[in-house]
Amino acid sequence: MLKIQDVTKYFNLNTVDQKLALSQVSIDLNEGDFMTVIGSNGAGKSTLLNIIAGVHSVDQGAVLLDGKNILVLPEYRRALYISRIFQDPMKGTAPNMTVEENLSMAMARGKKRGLRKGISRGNREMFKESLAQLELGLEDRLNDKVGLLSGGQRQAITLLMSTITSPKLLLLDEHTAALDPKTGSKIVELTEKIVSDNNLTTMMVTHNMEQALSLGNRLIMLHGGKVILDLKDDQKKRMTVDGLLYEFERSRGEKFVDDRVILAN
Amino acid sequence: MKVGFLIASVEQGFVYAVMALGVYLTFRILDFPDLTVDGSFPLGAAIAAKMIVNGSSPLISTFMPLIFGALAGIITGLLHTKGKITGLLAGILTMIALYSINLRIMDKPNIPLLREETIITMVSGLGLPKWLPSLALFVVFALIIKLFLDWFLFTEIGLAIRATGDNPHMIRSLGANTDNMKILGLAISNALVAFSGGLVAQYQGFADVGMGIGMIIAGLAAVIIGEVVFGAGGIKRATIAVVGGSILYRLAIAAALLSGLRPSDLKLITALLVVFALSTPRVKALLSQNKTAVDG
Repeated sequence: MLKIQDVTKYFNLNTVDQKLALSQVSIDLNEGDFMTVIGSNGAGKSTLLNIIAGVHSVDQGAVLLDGKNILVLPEYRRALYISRIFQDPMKGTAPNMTVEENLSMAMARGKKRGLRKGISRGNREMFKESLAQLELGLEDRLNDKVGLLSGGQRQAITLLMSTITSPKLLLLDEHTAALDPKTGSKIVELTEKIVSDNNLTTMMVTHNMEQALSLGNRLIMLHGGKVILDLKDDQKKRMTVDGLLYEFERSRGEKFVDDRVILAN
Repeated sequence: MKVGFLIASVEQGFVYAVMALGVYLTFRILDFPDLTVDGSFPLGAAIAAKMIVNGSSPLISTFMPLIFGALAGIITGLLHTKGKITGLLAGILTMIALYSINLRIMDKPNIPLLREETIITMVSGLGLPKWLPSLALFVVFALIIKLFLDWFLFTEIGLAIRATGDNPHMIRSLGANTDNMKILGLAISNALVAFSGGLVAQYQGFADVGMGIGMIIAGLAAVIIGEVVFGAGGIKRATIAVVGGSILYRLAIAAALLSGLRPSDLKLITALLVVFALSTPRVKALLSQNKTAVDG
């Protein structure tokens, strides 16, 4: 489904500030895979997601989605296939527009926009049902501006907006890190439900090792721009937080350094 | 005399409301301070006036500015999105370029339209009472454009334009080309501004190359007064507030003139008005901060 082949990325190439962000990274995701991504500071986790989404270009390598090279498409053209949620709950929604308008824009993801009515009556019922499933009382607030909602509510709406059209690939960039623990675990719960209901292929960056182990069927660990651990199904099920730390220290010969890492809940 | 003043102010309120709705589209919806307005307003006046003295039909002369205003907006949009020039500077560059272009179109700094057939004399020919034609014409135009924006801003493209001003990052991730949305918004905005310029030229009986100076501030004044007085809940409320704000602004100008100020003082008054309206929330916040500090 998603094939990342030998991707190398430098920042500030050919200057004194040259920095290797990703070094010959190869990842292979099958349809329906849910991969969690962990790694220490500056490991290249966000760079990897930015390359897949089209924010950054690559210096070498290829990214194939369903066999097609997506590196030639600008960010807004990849939107048809790829949804992404950010850490900052403010980033995924337009605050001065209503819940209904935000969801309607998500329905038009990647499609050609015309002079048809932006909000259709049929969609409204569907929005209400989907919102009701979030169990946050949002189904009665279709006409409220999103800016009036809490961070957790906004992130829940972003989650809905990202998945409402069943994209080929869902990218989650520490999407619960900025929320309080209770809201965060609610969003994780919703994420799991929506991903499995729609059988979405998903990549999720997280700083929470336990979360990385409990969610999904794949796990990779990045360090210094390289994949240093790639676990599948059974290997992943057997892995523990201590095991992850051991693997890291063994392969790198140094301590795992991440000022934000959460070992357990 | 006083009633005449009042009617004239309301007429002006409606005809400049067309321009103010254009300013609303860039300033509020796109979050783009577009100074092209100071050039596209006289551009519309120049085109309408030149066409009329050359004997074109007043109807075509009235609507032609829409097209050229849109072109002016597109140029600012291209400078900003493709040329990567900041929005403010892109608008100023187009505005300055338009000054020369407007003089080329007009051949001279001023074209009088006295005794020419204009859209206003056309409507007057229908046998209406003397005070009615301009007013009726401008009310109709302003309302049509208000309704157009109310419809347009709720279409798929309209939602994407609004999101471009609200959260460009997000709408790009949903597959909208924000560059194109900005260019389209600027085109529509400046089309309206130029259209308003053409109407004003016919209304006041001349086009002048300097008639656009400070137009963006007059537009802002209308938008902001409207928001303060009538509120700015949804789009439909906001567009009617802009029309109302435009009328109130013209009445305030008339009052300033009646109180003995010179016409040349008006730009200063307008600037002060906008400064006051824009800084009031900030001053209020500062005052209440100090108050709590003292109280606490």
